[in-house]
Amino acid sequence: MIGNFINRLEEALVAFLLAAMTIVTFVQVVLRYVFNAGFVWALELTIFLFAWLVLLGMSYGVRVGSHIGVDLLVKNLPPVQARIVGLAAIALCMFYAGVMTVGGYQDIDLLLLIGIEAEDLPIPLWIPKLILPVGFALLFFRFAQAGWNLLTGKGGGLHLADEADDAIESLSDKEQISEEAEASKLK
Amino acid sequence: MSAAILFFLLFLFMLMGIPIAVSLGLSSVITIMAFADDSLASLADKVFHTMHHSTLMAIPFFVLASSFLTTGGVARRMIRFAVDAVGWLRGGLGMASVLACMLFAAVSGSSPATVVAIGSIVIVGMVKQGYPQPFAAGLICNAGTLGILIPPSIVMVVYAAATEVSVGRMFMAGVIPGLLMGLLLMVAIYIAAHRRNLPAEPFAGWEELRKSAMTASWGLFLIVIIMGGIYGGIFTPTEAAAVSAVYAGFIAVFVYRDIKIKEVPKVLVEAAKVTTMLMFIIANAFLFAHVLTTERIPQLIAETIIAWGLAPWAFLIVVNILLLIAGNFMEPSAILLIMAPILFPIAMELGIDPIHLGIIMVVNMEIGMITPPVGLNLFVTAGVTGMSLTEVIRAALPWLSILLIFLMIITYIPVISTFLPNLFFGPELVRH
Amino acid sequence: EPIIIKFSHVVTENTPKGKGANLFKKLVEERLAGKVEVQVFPSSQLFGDSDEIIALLKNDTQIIAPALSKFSKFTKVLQLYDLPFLFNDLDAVACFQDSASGKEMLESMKSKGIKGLAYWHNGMKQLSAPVPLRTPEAAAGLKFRIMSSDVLQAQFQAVNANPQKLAFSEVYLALQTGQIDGQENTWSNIYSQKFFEVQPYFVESNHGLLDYMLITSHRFWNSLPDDIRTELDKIVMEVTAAVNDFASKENEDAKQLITDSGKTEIIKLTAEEKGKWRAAMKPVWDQFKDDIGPNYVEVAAACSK
Ligand code: NA
Ligand code: NA
Repeated sequence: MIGNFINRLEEALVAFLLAAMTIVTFVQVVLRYVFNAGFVWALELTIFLFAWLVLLGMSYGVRVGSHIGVDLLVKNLPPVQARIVGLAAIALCMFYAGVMTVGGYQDIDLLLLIGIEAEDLPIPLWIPKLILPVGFALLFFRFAQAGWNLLTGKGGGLHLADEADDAIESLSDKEQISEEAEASKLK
Repeated sequence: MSAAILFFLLFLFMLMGIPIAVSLGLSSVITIMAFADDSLASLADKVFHTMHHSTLMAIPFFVLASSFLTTGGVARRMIRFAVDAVGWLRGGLGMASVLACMLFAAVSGSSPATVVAIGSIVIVGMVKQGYPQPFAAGLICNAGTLGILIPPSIVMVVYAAATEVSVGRMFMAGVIPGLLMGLLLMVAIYIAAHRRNLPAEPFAGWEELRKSAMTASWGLFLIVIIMGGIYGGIFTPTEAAAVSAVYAGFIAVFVYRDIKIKEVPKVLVEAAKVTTMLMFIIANAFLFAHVLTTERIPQLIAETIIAWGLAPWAFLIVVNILLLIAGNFMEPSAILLIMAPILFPIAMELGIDPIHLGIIMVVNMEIGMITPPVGLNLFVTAGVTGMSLTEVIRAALPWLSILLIFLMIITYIPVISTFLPNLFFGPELVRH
Repeated sequence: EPIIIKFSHVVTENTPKGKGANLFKKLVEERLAGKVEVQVFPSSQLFGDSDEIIALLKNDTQIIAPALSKFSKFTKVLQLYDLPFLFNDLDAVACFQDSASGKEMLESMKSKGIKGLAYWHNGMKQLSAPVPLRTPEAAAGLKFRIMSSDVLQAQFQAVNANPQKLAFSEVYLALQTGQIDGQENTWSNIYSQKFFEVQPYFVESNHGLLDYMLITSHRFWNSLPDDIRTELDKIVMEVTAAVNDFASKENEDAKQLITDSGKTEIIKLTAEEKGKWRAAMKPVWDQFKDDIGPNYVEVAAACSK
């Protein structure tokens, strides 16, 4: 239940962030070209939205298995060895996410200490950068979840987006949507 | 020592099936923790600061635009038009795709953006017409590198700033090589098309061509908007990407009505997924390059080579090898910023033309885009096709050999690069 | 084990700052051989414009030299140097920087952990546009690229122009296509970034200053043994004098090269025209005077009399 809600929230957030950065940039072009005006802080806002998108999106990517990797070797191992390598891989991923969470926390800590504002936006710099520790903590959580699934046999661990079937599937998916759309238009 | 460990860890992690992004980041983090005293805060901050690169910001926008174009029927209509126009020629659609990449390269300064913008449309089109997917993907992965050779080019701006040569000259110098490489690719397609018996369809007739042109016109107009907008001084190439995304969304939802408004979030999520996957890799690739820089690895290698005191022709071979290796692991701007100031003075001593050297470096950077493990075009191609990285690498390989031949031509026939700029501006004077 | 000083900067090695960093390395390694090692990282190789100050506070680099405008989030006091027409020339700048007030300002970011070591010149800024900017009216409605700074923003708004923020690497293209109309910079930057290729008219306005502050962190500086710190201080003084000489010479050379290129026209302003520019931009002083400290503004202005 709660898990489902969080998943939905994650999707809504990344969609919103991408839409927002696109619109801010677009509006800035319109303001500058049509009205010879514009906001000096628009670029910085876009950068922050972009950072939030990427740093929130990376853990979302683990959940939906969109990160790419090379599983040539792992695929050809016998099941037991593959499981061991898989668990080790996840442990290393968790280590990475953990270290970066600590690094992100230390970064915020320093910003709080010196208390400076962002370059153009009138907000303290630690606020936009909060996504660093938060994003990496979420990443840690998603890796831990993948590890737990592998350990309890509920899932295959890190799903790397590398299945050729995926490709064909996604191609035919896209076609289907547009054909449906075409069909609905004809009606 | 630190370098050896860095690379060993990178390959080990990748073989273990750890995502590329984490493999790059983790090998960097471990190397820094073991050999340097940089703070963890700085490492995390590097990831955040990747998003400050204004050229990278074009990626989410172009990904979104492509999402709208392909999810709706816009891309399909454009493909229908392209098939009607050139599909009767054996390999025609492939050639048209190269031409599309060249046109797009003429407005975009970035190579992965070219792959995203063009690839997501034409690869589907070629596959639909019966081209093998690896053939189509490998082709676009390579043709996309034209983004930094055909002006405008961010990489050229970086080279010009690092060496104080003229940006205008560099841009001018990229024109003939860019056309030449496009031509080479088309010749290769022509040969491959006959050897592998790629599909050709009978000409559908002028009436059908006119009709398909009409239905595709809204999509085709996007090219006019981007070209006109950039050259008309309305927006930067990065902003052009955002404008394309809004325009593509608008026509998909309101003009063609292929996508209902309530389906828009789904398109956004899809685009966000691809964007994040790419940017997560790129951010960690920056981290990796940061470690190489901190450990002064590229500098040490370059200085060693300089100490050999080579003849011009041999120096250029070594420069190429050095840049090709660097291109395997680092992002082009980073390589140029480090290597250009080191190699440039030696090249000047040896009497090599500064613009010629610049084009050699740019072509090397192009190749770096499609060589593993760090090759942005490879990642982007995997992202837009859904193919596995291994498959994309394998698919890009045959085309890579064409780029290598092209590099030899560029290296040893300087006039290809220097003809146009010298014609318009006279020979470049270097300030010592 | 020698003490390692990482000197990180964002420009190429043949600029005044780049040469200064290399000279600093050379002198330190001659005079403090075996005790101190300097590693110079040019061209944003290590850290960029937007993250180098924070990196310094994390002790991931030990010396940097950001443009004075970059400090606006750390202290309002240094906004002084962005005020238009405050200094007539680099001599006036030197007069103020050598004064007690100028030296006081080096310590203005002490509470943030930043220690100012010296001022390094880049030079006086010039304006360029597609039209001859003889009077401020000519700038009205034009888009000018600025570095992020409230003062610079106000300066262009004062002449009804439209200030735009843009990454330095994108300026050339934007000027070429006309996405922005004009820019302000020093002759040496205009030459090295080739802006003269794409801007038909320059005015020698000398309206503003582009200077750097060589800084370190208190944390690092205080950790040094006394004798080494004293020697480093001496070296900094020596390098500063050399950098400022380079800067003057670079700007003169660059201006000559730009003139010789024949690609653009450099307009000299008459006293009357310059007076109009000054009058149009001077209201900006009042806007920022209280933040900066009225006293500093007076002392600085007196140097140009
Ligand atoms: Na281009
Ligand atoms: Na590569």
